[in-house]
Amino acid sequence: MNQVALRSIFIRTARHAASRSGLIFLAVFPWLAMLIFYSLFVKGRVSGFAAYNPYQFVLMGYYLGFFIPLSSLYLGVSLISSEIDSGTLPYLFTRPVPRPLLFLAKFTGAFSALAVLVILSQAGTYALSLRMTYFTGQSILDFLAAAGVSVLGILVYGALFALLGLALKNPYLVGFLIGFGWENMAGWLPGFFKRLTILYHLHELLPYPPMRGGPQDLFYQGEYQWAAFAFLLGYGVIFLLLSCLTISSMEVVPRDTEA
Amino acid sequence: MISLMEVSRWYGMVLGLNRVSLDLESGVTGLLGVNGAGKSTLLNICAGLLLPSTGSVTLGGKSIFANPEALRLLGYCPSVDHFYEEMTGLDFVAYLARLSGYSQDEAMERAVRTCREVSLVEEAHYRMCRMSKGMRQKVKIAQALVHDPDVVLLDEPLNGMDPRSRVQTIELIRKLGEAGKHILVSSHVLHEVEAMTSRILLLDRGRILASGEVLEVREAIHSRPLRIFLRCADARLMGAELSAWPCVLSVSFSPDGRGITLEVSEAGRFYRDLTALLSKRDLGIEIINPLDDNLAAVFEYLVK
Repeated sequence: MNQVALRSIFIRTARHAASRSGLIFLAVFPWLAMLIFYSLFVKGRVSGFAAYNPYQFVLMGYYLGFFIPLSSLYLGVSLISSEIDSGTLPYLFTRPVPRPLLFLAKFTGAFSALAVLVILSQAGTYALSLRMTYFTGQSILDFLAAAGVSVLGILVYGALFALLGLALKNPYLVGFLIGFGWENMAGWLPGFFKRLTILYHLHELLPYPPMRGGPQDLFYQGEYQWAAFAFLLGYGVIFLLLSCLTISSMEVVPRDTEA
Repeated sequence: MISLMEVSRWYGMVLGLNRVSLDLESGVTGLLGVNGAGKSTLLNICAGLLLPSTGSVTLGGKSIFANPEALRLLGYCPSVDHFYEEMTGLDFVAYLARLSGYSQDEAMERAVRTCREVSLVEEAHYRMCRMSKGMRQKVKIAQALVHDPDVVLLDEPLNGMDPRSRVQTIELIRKLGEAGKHILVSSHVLHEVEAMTSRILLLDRGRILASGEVLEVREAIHSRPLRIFLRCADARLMGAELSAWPCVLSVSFSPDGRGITLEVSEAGRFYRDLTALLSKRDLGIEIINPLDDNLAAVFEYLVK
């Protein structure tokens, strides 16, 4: 019985997420950047970047540092809050669907759509980067590994921001501070703090060597990849469990009703 | 089916519901009260959307809050006007039917049937954003009924409907009640509630002021004797006869001398004695009209 319900919720949420024009723009944007980069390369104006793989540069700087946190923040926070804002949550909460499963169906729906969008975007970017044969490190296996890391990043960031959306009154502000403040700032701190970020572990899992001399160099402290994976998995599971607990005890007052 | 035991609900320092206990019987029960009386709070608690601060709410013996087993028995029509606006009415109802566990085909079949029951045929294919308020109300009612629940909670279901739709919806609610469904329906419009049911639950400032059949409730209001108007051939003779009865508290004559208004303490006894009197003597009675045994009077006496 739940399977029909959960599939319906999954499909509806995935379709809704995949049709967001803002996300589509963010997915297409690096292709434009890559084309500009390519034209500069052809004219010989990017020799200073000769040590870097342009795909690695875009992957770390744009996808992991911007696109994935930003879109996860948007989709994660709005996962349930959009239903609250649009007044449709009472319809869902009065159906015989366990609330944690309802949440997980929405979560997987939204972030599957985002993962597909990101991988398609990365595939395009990767294909464009192949035109610049001057660079090395263009293995398809590396691309697939980087795509896997991106998906993991989407899930963990998504779980974090979905929890914030459920638990806080101003989740966007807090999410922004965490996603773009703490995540980057903690990477500069010595000791264990950087392990409390998602970005650090994602960088550790990437198949590319650190870009020496760049800001990413600060993240690099030689953690084992299995440890990075375990950290991310642990974070994701904890965030999802807390979200399920939160939604299980969540009250809804249909708006515009009397007290 | 649905049972509340000593349920109270606070919103901060404001008491929304105050020690409410009730067992919802089969048939239609009208939920009445002024704005802020606690009607929506009561319905939201019954729908498992709000937790009571104290007390318990069960449906079919099971706690209702976030409990799929209990929610399977429930249909809820909220008062607020919110939908997935990009969907058609039919798709909206079918989607919620699927969330109740029906397969794609069965959900669509049920949605079509239920939309027809609420008098949405062609209009069910409109997008929600293009529908009138009355049509949207019908979609809300349809989604509450599409999975054939035993308990139906309707919060202001007639809001925004045109007169014809109101009549159709009232008839539908009556039929559901006659079919044995447990229906709790809130409304501000007393005569509409009266058209659906004679059983009421009257809330005021979070407390149940009265519950039961309107006539029973009316008779229980001892501070306000029942007023009955009689029109007959000889009002003076009639007045003299009736003023001697212990249950008749006062008699007043209308200006034309053909009508009298009585204040009666026990309506049941009065009608029995009057029937007995009329079987013995022909007093030429043309009209017997109780003036304040209706819902409006009950509401006025208890709430205002």
